[in-house]
Amino acid sequence: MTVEEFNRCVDNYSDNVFRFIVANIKVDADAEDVVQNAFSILWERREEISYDKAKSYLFTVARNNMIDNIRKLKRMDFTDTVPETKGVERNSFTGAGDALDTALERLPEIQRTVVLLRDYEGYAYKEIAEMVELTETQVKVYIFRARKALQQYLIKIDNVI
Amino acid sequence: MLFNMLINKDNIEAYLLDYMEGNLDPADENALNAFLKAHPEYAELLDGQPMPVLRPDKSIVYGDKDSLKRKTPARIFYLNRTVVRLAAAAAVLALIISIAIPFLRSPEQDPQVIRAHADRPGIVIDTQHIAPQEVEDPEVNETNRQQDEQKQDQKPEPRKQPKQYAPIIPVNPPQDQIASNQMVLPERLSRKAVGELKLESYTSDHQRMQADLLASAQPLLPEQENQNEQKRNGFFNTILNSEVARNFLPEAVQQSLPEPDEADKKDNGGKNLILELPPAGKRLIDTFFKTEE
Repeated sequence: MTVEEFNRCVDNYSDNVFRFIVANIKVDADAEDVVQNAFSILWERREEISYDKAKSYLFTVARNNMIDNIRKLKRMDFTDTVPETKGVERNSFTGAGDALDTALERLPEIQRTVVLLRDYEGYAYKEIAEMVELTETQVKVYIFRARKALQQYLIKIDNVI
Repeated sequence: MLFNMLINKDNIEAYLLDYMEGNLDPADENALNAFLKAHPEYAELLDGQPMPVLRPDKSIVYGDKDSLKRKTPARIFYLNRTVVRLAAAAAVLALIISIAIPFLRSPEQDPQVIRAHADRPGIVIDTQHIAPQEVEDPEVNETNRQQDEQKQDQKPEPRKQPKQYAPIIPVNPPQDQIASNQMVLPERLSRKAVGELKLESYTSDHQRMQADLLASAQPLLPEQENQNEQKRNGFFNTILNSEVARNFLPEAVQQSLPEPDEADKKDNGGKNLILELPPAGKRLIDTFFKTEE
């Protein structure tokens, strides 16, 4: 990858990676650090990574870095189970978007990651499988579970409202 | 039944996702329907409710993109290996030549150079043709000054030719052929003299060197014990020909030596050393250049 291609990656993908990380950790400053670190690693390995593979590499590196940071801070539960809902605070929602964000936060990290990569970036299941080192079937299973969980959460909200 | 065997509890959700997204071919759809009939608890997952799809918030952007960008590194020129080898060889050759040049000058090329070789046990300096020291006369100097001023007004004086001195006799003549106004210098400096002079060259303490040389009581430095012949000879030449090295001689000897002519300094870099030794100076330099016993 040339310097020009690297800088094009910055222009084209830094916002995407940043949104993906923000959707996971909700702290802009931490997300900026993760993005910065991801691009630093991409720069170091620019001889090995082609421009075509750079985007998926950035997401993979950023996710791994994010998981490391979160494990250090012990902010999240990484088990593949949906956290138990402790009731719904009506006043915290201003619309379907906020409700969806809250529902997304409650997903296990792997479900949130695969559904974000699918919906935000439009990656194919096979590409997502390579990025998160799972099989394509496993990715589909996690995405189905994520969508079902989001659906059930929104139905609950509608019932409460 | 064949297809039902492919669908199981571990991958049924993947099939359901493909079914909802319309990605199942008819054969897989039949297999899915057969599996759901056999396992009605999974049929409940297809409740007909719409599945939510997430949309990114485009207002969330990474602020300082320029801080992530890199500049094009400076171009690096890689030299051919052959060119590098040739350049290295040329550098080594130039270094050797620069070191060897002072030792390669022959007496014929520079008759003022005194050389001491292993096969020449002694060197005779012919002082007969050495220019006598000019004595300054105040009246003559005043006359010359007036004349110089007049000449400056007319035209520039042609460049003064350097004086020609008799060559050094690099042989070991019989004692009876040495004239009274000639002196024989030893083939090489004594180890002690060399050692002290080398030491002095490090400290630049002329007074201490003179005192040490005249006392002749200091032991040799260990590293100077193994001075090779070439170094001794080169150093010997330096002593006799260098204006700088002359300053290392005892003060009494220095005073016996006339100042090099200004023209000689300009033409020969001040290396010419005119030896016109009075008896006292000769004795001192004999003491200075003690031969090894």
